[in-house]
Amino acid sequence: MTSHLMESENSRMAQAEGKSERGRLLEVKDLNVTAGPLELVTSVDFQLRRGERLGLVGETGSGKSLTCRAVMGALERKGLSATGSVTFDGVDMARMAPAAKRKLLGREIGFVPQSSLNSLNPVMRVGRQLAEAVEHLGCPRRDVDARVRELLAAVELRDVERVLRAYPHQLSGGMRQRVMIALGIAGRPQLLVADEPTTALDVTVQRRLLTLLVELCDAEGMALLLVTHDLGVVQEVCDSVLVMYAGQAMESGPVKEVFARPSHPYTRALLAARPSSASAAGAGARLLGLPGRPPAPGTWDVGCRFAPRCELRVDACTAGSIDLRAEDDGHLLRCVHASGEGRSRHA
Amino acid sequence: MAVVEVNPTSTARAIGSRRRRASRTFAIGAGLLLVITLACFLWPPLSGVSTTDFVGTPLQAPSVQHPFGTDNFGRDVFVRTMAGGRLDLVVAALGVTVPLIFGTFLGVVSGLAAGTVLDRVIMRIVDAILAFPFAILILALSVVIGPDWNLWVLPAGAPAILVALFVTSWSVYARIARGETLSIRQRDFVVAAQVTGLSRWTVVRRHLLPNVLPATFTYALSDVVLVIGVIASLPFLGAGVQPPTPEWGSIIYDGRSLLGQAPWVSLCPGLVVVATGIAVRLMGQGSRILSGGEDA
Amino acid sequence: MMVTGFNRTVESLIVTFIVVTLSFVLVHLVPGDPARTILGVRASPEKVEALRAALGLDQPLWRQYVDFLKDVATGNFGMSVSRPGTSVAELLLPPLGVTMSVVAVTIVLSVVGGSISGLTAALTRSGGVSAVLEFLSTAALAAPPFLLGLVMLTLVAVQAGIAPAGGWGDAWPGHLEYLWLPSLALTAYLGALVHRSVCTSARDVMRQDFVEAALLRGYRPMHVAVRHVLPNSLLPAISVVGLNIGTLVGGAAVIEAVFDLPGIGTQMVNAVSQRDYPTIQGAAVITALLVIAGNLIADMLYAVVDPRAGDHGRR
Repeated sequence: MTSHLMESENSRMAQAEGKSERGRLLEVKDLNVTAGPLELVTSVDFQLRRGERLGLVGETGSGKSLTCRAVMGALERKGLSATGSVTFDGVDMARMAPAAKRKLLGREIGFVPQSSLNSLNPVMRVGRQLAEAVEHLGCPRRDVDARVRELLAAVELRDVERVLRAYPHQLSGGMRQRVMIALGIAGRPQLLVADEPTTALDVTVQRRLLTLLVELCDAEGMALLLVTHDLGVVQEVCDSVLVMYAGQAMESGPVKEVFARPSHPYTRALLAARPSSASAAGAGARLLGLPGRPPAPGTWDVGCRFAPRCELRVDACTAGSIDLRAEDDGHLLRCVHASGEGRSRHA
Repeated sequence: MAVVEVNPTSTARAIGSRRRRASRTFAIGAGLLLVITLACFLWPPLSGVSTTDFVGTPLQAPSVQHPFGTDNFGRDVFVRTMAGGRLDLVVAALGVTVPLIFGTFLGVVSGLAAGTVLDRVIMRIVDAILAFPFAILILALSVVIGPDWNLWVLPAGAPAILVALFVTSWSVYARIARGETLSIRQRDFVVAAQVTGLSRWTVVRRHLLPNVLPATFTYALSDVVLVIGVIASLPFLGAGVQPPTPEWGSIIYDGRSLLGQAPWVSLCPGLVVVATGIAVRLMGQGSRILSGGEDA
Repeated sequence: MMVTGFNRTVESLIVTFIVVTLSFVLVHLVPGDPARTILGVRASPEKVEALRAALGLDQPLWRQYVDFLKDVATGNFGMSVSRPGTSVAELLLPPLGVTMSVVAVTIVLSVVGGSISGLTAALTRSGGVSAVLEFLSTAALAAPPFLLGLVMLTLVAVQAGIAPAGGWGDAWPGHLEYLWLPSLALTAYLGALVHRSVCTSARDVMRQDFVEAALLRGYRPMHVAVRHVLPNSLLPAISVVGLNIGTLVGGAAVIEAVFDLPGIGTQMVNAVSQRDYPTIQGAAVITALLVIAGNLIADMLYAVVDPRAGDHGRR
């Protein structure tokens, strides 16, 4: 799979750069998410160019899912509120009327939720749910069936007749997730937001689906905002990465750069915790699991939120708030240490 | 998809406020029921007016003197409603409590003996009794048992209704208690108690009943509404408590022909029936949440 | 699904058998002589003896039981006492149609009305609308249907003259003119139950991922509510209706007596006043059978409507 990804890499990057002069597709600035008085996400910034693929990484509760929901404007239903600006294709989404936002969703921004039985209506046949999406996008009635089959072919679902007539619970997890992807790309969106799209699946299925996702993005020129807790997935799929911890961006930058020189102790801990790197380092290097848990919202310190679990903690870490600062070209870091310091202790 | 990790303390707080609201709902219902009950038992003797006394012009509209007005015989409808309420409340209380105790007992037995012939026989009988429309079954039974039968202070008709309730109503409680017993029986603390060597009766008394009773009691509260409704419906089907003893149903039934000209004769007692129903329903809603069920 | 359907049918047959047995016990194990009770204390011994023979009461008990089972199995519920020369089946069949019509119209009204109001209450969570609907449903469940019927009869039929004050049409759909108001009175009860069931489950369903996913595909909220939330919220309502068919038939009987519809209820008033035991017994058995059939239909319907029911066993 990796070799295949590499092949497509160069041509695609060129394509993405060619488009970049047409401006950024998505720009998130100073995004804060709160639940009443409780702060859940603090001042997150990132941009996404057309065709670019960004990975949002972090442990459970780091705010990555919330960030991606804020981008889709889907927080109010859960009683949360967001401040800051989310600009899509030059338009501030916060200022959009609900109807205009709905026009954007599905057509310009596609969504692929976490693989789970609950993401499809349990009492509606899969064929009907696909047809519903296609009809919603304004497909003429007589073309609906053809378009649905086209979508199923695009996500490489075989046994089309059975899938169309099946109820969600009658399909395997992998097949359901292919259906979710088909629903996400039905409107040929410019941006696909995928929230842990492969988490609940077994490893082989995960790989096949990620390959599929990448191919689809290339074929349709879609940008991808991928939420995951797996840095390995980011390395294989994405162009850039944003590492989140306790509602804050800790480190971000191009994948090549960040993976070559991981600078934040948290990023390095995540990298060390990857099963692949552990096995690469030999049987002796067991998972370098982080001791402790991420702090709960509301218990965040003024200084570095990772400090309580950090091996490199010094007094400066907890003295005051720490800003994101530029390391190199596009590589941002929120740490009092310089990028090179202490690396040897983790890597 | 855990979008938000819910803060444990806020959840505990939410449950706490939910329980507080549930206790308040229960208390409001209980207070209303207490007021109605006190009025029913105290007002007729205190007012010195009897249910058959002629107190003034027939068909007077409600006034301070006669809050529910007078009927076509010039009798005070309020006094009649309160006096009649005693009967409805007593019959409902007895007709719910006895089946509650008996049914809970049978249900626990059935649940402990799940899968045996005894359990199957009890449950099939329960199914069969529950298949009869309640109102029709009570009607049929009370007619067959004897609508003219009076017993001690109970006027003709009432004992038959009570017996009819006793032989039928236990079935729902048995079904509920059996279900609860089955689910509790599996839980660790009961298993642990059994392993520790506590006697069966001790386990039932200390662990099963405290968990089964809230469920059956909660149902009993909605059963009260049902039973009062059925007792009051019987006059419309030609049965029920026999005249001249007033009872909510018969007062409403007698007043139905006056609805056009003197609606208060029927509707005022009707309002009391509804108020009683709401009181007990509120208690039920509170109790359901307090006993750990869902609000439905 | 086939297997559960078969099991449910067998179960229903066993319950039916017990129902018939219980209704035999109902009349025969009560102290006293039914014939004497029917005819009253002053009837001559000859007359009582004749009635005993006519009712088969002179036979040994087991014999009577076997005969009763045979009769019921062939749809014979004996002869009416109040209407000599008429069989109970003949006497009860036409009214049964009326009662079933009342029940059917009530179910339709309740499901439609309860769905709309339940969904509305669930969608407007913290609003005053939901509080008002909540109070209305509590009140509707607290008021016995006959009382509502009485009020409606007075206000709508007698005073406003919008509906006929009782009676029955010549044929369908003319019956509907007489049916809608009594059914509406019963709907207060069943509709409130459906309302609660739909409201509770709709709140649950709205929290589920597929609803969010649908909204994030850009569907209008109204579309999502009707096409996705409602079908999922209606499933428990099927069970609610099934479980309440008994109460409904009983309520229908009383409402018929209030509105003077020629249904089972009105027939019962007649039978009760004449101590017509065979008719009362027949009515009890037949309505119980209706309830058993209704429960069975509700269960089967659930299995058909919920695609998951067949694969994972019932509920």
